[in-house]
Amino acid sequence: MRLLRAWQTLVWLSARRMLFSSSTLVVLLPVAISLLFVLHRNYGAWDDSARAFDRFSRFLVAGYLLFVIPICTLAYGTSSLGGDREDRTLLFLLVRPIPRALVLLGKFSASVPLALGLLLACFGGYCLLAGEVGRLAWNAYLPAVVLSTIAYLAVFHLFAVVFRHATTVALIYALFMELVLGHMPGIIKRVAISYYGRVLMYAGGEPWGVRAPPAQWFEPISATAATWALAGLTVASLAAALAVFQWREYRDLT
Amino acid sequence: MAELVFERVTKFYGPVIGINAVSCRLCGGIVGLLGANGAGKSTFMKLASGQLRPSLGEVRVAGRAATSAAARRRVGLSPDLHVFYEEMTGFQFVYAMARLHGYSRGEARQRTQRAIEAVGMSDRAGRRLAGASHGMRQRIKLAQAMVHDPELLLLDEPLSGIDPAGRREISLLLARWAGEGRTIVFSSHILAEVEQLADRILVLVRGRLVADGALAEVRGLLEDRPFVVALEAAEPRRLAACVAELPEVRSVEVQGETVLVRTRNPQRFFSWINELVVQEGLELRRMEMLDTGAEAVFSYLEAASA
Amino acid sequence: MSIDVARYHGWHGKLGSPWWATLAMVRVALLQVFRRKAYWIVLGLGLTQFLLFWSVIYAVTQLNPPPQVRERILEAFGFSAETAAPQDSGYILFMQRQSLVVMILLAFSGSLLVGADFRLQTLPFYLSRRIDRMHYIAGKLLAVAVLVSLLTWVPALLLFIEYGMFTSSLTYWVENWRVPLAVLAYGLVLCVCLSLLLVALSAWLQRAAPIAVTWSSLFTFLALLAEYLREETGQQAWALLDPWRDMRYVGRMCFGVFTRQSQEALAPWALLVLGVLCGACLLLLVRRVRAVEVVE
Repeated sequence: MRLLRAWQTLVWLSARRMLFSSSTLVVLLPVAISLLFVLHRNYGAWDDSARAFDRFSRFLVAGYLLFVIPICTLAYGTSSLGGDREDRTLLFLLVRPIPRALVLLGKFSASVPLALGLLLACFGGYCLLAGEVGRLAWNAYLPAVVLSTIAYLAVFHLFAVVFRHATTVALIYALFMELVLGHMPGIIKRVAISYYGRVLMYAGGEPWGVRAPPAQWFEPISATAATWALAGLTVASLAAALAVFQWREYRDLT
Repeated sequence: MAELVFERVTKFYGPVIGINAVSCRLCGGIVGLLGANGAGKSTFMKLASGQLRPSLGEVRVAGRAATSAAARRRVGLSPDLHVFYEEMTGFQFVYAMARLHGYSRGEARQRTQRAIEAVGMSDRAGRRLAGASHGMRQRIKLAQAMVHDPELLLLDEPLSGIDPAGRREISLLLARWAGEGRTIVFSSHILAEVEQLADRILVLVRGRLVADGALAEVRGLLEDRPFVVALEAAEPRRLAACVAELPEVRSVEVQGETVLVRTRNPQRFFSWINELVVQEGLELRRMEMLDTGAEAVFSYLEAASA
Repeated sequence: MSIDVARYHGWHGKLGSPWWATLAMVRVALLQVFRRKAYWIVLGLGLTQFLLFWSVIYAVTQLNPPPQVRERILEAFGFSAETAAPQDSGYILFMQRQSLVVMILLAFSGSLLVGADFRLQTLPFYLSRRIDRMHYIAGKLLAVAVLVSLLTWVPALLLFIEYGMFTSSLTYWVENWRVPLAVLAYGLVLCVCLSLLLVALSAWLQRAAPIAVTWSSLFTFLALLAEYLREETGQQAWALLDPWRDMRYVGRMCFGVFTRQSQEALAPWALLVLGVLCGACLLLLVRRVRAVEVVE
């Protein structure tokens, strides 16, 4: 019971510190810019709703899935534990009677509702501004958004546990691996989380005429396989992070 | 009472040895950890608080591995670190730390109030930590370390940055905690503090534990370093000539009105000198042992281990 | 004991201008950056682009491929197949392609070189010397400019030298004498704009994650949205939202080469946008540094 209370405190404390941090303030920048973009495009007022849905989907894939989600999850994923490491306040958590695995799970649990809440609010905002087209997009793309967000968070937590300068590594990953490798020909693109997110989004938008890039180039897998891949990536990253965090000695804390 | 046990503990940082085959058993009282920079004091504290795992050997707190959650419940650590959750007030920080021990809101609040009062921060606990002075930070660190009533307190430089009045207060506080049956291990560079506070000292030199015991005991074991006794007399040369005849005296040196006597056995020397003064009718104004303090002991030990 | 007996004595030499301190700041900044492995990875990524261009120039000048193949390779990398024609676009293309690497490198450098001074309150260490806030700002701007230079105009000039050296005469260098000047001018635009933006952002945001998020939002996300808006509305002016494109347009002004007429029309506006941006950054920066009180 005491352990549960301590863990709840850790989750609450971490979530509150992240919410009222400069990370929240700066992630609002891409969110606000993208909302202004959708407001300006006013997809709901287009005569050709199929074209409007196609264009809106293109924006969601290239702008939201490939940029807003990785960047927002980067801000929370790396700062939840990485911020404590950077400030050296992690020591105050590590000397409490909470097992290390639970400390990491607490940090992860605190960042999930924050990042997911912000990103779903942002996605909801786009869909609201896009009218009927937005309603369709919400239903079609919600699983891709949720799964990608959680997968990115798990990967960035792994970075925060392993690397001292996790933000640096995460940014190289988000901008280089995801954008460059994720768009390369062949199966190398499967190292990118965004590839699976795109597969899910294209599969979700297919009934409404959204076309994936040419199959010989994009080489899509099934939506079920992509779902399992994202879930597997999340679990594997978290398990690796837990294993590393359990045994890692952070000598730089004092 | 939680016992802290180091059993042949060695810690490697890659090719560098942090501490080397250290064994000790600490149970109750105030223990001063002495050592120069890089001697291994921080490594000792980190191993005792479960932040590091020993490369060889074992560290146990109350019979449990120091890295276990059960052991951490019994340990309070005040690290040599001056960062906190800067956006919080002192009270909020200590309260959050109490909650992280699993106490209910009400109990955590009570414990926080008690801890804050104990370290003399009641009037300033509502201030934000971002603007707190060094002394306030030290007190908050102590408060968070003892908020859960630990049986073993590990304090890394607890008195640095605190004004003399504050030092006195905290020294009394530590003495009171030790009197309640806690084991307090503290490291300090200020040897006078160690001398004044500690019942027992551990001296680390280049990662090795070179001395463990009460200060006087440790001093007595330094066989190659005779005690220096200063005698001030009206006739120093006559006194020196008489003293030189005594069996336990190694050497005698006259410096103005002071006679410096080096002896292996100060107890016997003092009884003989009393008899001598009476027999010879010497006028003795002052008699003082010069090198029984922590500073002398530490420098002897360091030189001996070089 | 008097102070003379203790062998303390005042400094009787002649102190140099405090502006020399900016060079010391640059040296320290570069040491800080190159001490970290992650930066070498990013620099390695930047080197791959250089090696690619280097190989292309080597292939077309030394391996004598069939004319059609040669022409297609050169065009793909922005160079003209005619040796006598201006061969500028390749250098612009190279510097433009370095943008991702430059962006990533600067996103981390901001927190390390500038943000840490404010976060860890080490700014008084600088300002308590003979230098004032202007020297501090100049030193930090210069440090960032050196990093930008290492990835942009320095390798571009090396490519120009390589191209000339692999031809059998000095004709290439003589006929394209304007190219190095244009590369330097474009490099100056990149250095000034990027260093001002980064130092100002880092002074205010301080931590790595917020700087990285803001920086990538400005340079990646805005570029993406600008491209969409340009495509969907057909209005070329949206391109001005993208700071990289603004710098490229100004760069093309320096080279005097535009691939489309719209670019030529937008170039002065791009210069204006960059001017306003740099002015705002400078103001923010001076304001931020002024807030630090130093007792002399």
